[in-house]
Amino acid sequence: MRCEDIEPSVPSWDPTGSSAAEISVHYDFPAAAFGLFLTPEMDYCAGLWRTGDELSDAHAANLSWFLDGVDLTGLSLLDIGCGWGSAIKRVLRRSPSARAVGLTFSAQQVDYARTQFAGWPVTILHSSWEAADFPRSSFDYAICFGAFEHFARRESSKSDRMAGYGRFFERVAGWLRPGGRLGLQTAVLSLPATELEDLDTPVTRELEFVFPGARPPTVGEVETAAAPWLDLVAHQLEGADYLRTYRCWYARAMERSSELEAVIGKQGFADLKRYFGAVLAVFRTGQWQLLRVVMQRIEGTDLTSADDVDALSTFAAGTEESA
Amino acid sequence: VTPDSQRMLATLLDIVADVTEVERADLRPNDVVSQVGIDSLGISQVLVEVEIELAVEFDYDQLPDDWSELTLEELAQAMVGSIF
Repeated sequence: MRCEDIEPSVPSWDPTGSSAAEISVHYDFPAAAFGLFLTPEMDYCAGLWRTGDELSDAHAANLSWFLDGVDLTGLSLLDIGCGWGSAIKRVLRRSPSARAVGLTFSAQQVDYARTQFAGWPVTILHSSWEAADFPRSSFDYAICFGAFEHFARRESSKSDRMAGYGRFFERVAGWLRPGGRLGLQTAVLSLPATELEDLDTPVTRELEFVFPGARPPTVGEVETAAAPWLDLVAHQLEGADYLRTYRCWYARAMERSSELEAVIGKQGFADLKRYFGAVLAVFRTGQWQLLRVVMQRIEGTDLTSADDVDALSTFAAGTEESA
Repeated sequence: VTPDSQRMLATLLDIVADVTEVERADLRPNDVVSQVGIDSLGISQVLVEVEIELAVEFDYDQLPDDWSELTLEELAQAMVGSIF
């Protein structure tokens, strides 16, 4: 497998979401700091909590929800916004014959994940979804956990957001094989229509500081934008899962406050708690919810994903052989 | 064991002091939340830190929507009444 950077093709549109510089504000925070409150796998999305679950159990259950009924043997997986590679690692533990490509826009996550996956059938690419390109029908399954919030900007108009989301779903559908699925997990806005465009509250301003250039979608925006390309298979709306996950991260951070302060400083630790507090506030008040949705590529649509590119031909050949 | 109002208040005062960096000795039960420097983000931190410290979870639907004009003692009572 190839692990070098993809040579980004120049998108024929303006990037619609967070830039690499904006992504780096949060995700290039030292991995050593994240490692003090996340699971050893570095899961950085909501878990799916059942009674008695520990944090790692909740993350395993979350992935299981998406993979329910999926044959993992020889699975070719695309993880869009793969973070430090936790979901890929969990899939490959369950199915050593699986192979994966992970995309992240964070340089530090790329370095971390490539080190983690040395010798594994995994390719980590430093790329946004807009700049990446793959041969059509490359993947059995694509996941996108906690990244979709970065695919539109707070100041974007609704038409620009919908156009960007539509391009995302069209491209992902093109990368999926017939019958292939996309598992999407994202925070979604749950506000009256009159408040959706402004989003100017102390809490959202705080989150803009942490996640500049990001804006969660609404459920309707996801469903509408995906509809031409992907059929809905399953969905769930459960903000309490993010609330509980963030509460757990907060508790773990408090337990290891001295170590965190040694890595990110006293102010950095205070900022981290304030960020957690902001996210807890929007989920507690119901302004944000957590959407999990599984969608399947619609057959017979006129997918216009770009033609094959050389950058990942090795990967594509491998997945064809394993089919 | 569900904490009583006194224990909740003591914990709340400790955590408010930590979050606001106000001296603990300077906080009084009849201080108003907004006047001790707790904003909408700060209250979120306070709530979760009280939950962690006392190993409880609050039913947020049972907490008042606007706590800014509550006293710390009233907030502590509301927290006790909202424990799952």
